Amino acid sequence: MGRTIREAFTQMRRTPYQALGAILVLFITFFVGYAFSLLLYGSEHVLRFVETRPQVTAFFKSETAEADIRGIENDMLAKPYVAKVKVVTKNDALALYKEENKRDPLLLELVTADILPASIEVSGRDIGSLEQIQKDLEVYKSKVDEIVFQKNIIDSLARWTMVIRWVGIAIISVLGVTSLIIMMVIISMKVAMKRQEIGIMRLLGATSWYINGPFLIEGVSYGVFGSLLAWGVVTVGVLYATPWIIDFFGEIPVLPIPWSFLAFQIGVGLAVGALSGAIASMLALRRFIK
Amino acid sequence: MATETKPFASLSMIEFNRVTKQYPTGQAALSDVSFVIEPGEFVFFVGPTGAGKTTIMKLLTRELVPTEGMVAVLGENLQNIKKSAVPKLRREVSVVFQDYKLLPDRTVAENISLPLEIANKTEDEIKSRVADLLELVNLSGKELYFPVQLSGGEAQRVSIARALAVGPKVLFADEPTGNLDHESAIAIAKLLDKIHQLGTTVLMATHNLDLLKLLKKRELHLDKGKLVKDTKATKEKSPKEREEKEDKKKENEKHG
Repeated sequence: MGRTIREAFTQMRRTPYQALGAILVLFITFFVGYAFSLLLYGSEHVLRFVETRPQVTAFFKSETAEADIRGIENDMLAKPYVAKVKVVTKNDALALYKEENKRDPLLLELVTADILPASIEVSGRDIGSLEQIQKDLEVYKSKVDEIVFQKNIIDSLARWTMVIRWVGIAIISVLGVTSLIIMMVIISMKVAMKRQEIGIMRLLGATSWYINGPFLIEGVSYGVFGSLLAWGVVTVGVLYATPWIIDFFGEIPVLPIPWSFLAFQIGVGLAVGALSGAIASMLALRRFIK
Repeated sequence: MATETKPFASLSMIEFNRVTKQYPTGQAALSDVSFVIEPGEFVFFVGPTGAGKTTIMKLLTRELVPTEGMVAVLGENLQNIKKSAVPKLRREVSVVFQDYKLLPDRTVAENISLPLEIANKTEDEIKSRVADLLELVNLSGKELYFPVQLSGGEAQRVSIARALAVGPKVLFADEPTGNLDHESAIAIAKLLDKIHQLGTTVLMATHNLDLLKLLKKRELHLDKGKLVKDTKATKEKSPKEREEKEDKKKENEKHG
């Protein structure tokens, strides 16, 4: 095994531009792969966040008594498909309003708790329960002024997540096949260059592993290096862009990315890199060595 | 044409039993060839180009399989051996080529050590074996030379050393003197004889009649794929018998 690895690295050292080309092509593929997986992770996170936020909000008429609101709160809490209920009283609404407009004193001067509606925010256990929650709240027509339903936002987000997933799969597939072919061509060239040497080795009693091993290790190394490099660049990129990402997503906690996810990402990336390198080498060897 | 073949090969070093080899083009390289070579023999394969000498070499290393008949090495029918056993066979039946087939980007020592690396020998073993072989082929001091820096005779000696590296049972030299001048050819023939004296079965394909006269060994004459003549398998003289003969010769010369 030691000889095989040594031989593989000697081959790579002797043809540095071919090695660099193979690693860079794989780097691009894995870079896109890791970037899309992070994008998917982020969009799933956003979707989950929105799904678990108050999904149906009912604004009460100003004359609705607080006791009635508490009654509705209790009714909603009793439903099995309701995860959480939060009542925002007129005073709470005023406090929120003040917080949001604290930089604009003019807007604060004219507003009192009386003119702000109380509201109830009801979270469903899953997205399918939202319509039922809406119907439940509509029963209190005399007390409720308006019902805001966030299903459309969630549907739209889910659609985008799906689009990201499929676009990612399509791009990575095309890049993956291209990388595989390029790697196969590079290794084929090397095998062709060593054809005479391989023939002599065969006559001297070399086993298939003795001949094929270094090429296989070379392919695997390209895959592993390409994958590792891309993971490093993407991870450093995310760390560098952290302040901007936090600012962009606001209260949605997409960061920090858990280490378990990063470990899973690099684990799968290295396995795929090694496998694709081995496949490319095997295809090249099968084509050139009878 | 169906030919009868023995169900089990004997324990001779090499046995060809009614071997026919026909290439896909229809050209018959060997037709119904039978012979037996015992361990420790030195045998010449003689014949013009296209007689079938190289085909015999390829059948022995299982680069080819016979169309009909049976080829056996040490009692093993080569048609029955698994593909995975071919590398082992090729370490037992080593070949020396007319064009040396040395790796140009490796030194003399690296070329000789290649079969030892293939056989997974340790570095110390390789070092010591290469030194011994260089001494045997009289190339000590040239271990760091590249093939391009060697004369034809020297390159062929490196090729012989490489073939001997893993201690093969049979050494097949396929026209080893074909590219060499007369003196180098004689030197190579003598070297092969020396290797034979050390116990290796040596087969040598040639059409150089001077070498046949010089070494006086068994000859298998081939023509157009047919075995046309097999000089009797002369009993090989042991080194002791040779010495006695030399002494007797000197004694006679002394006494006029």
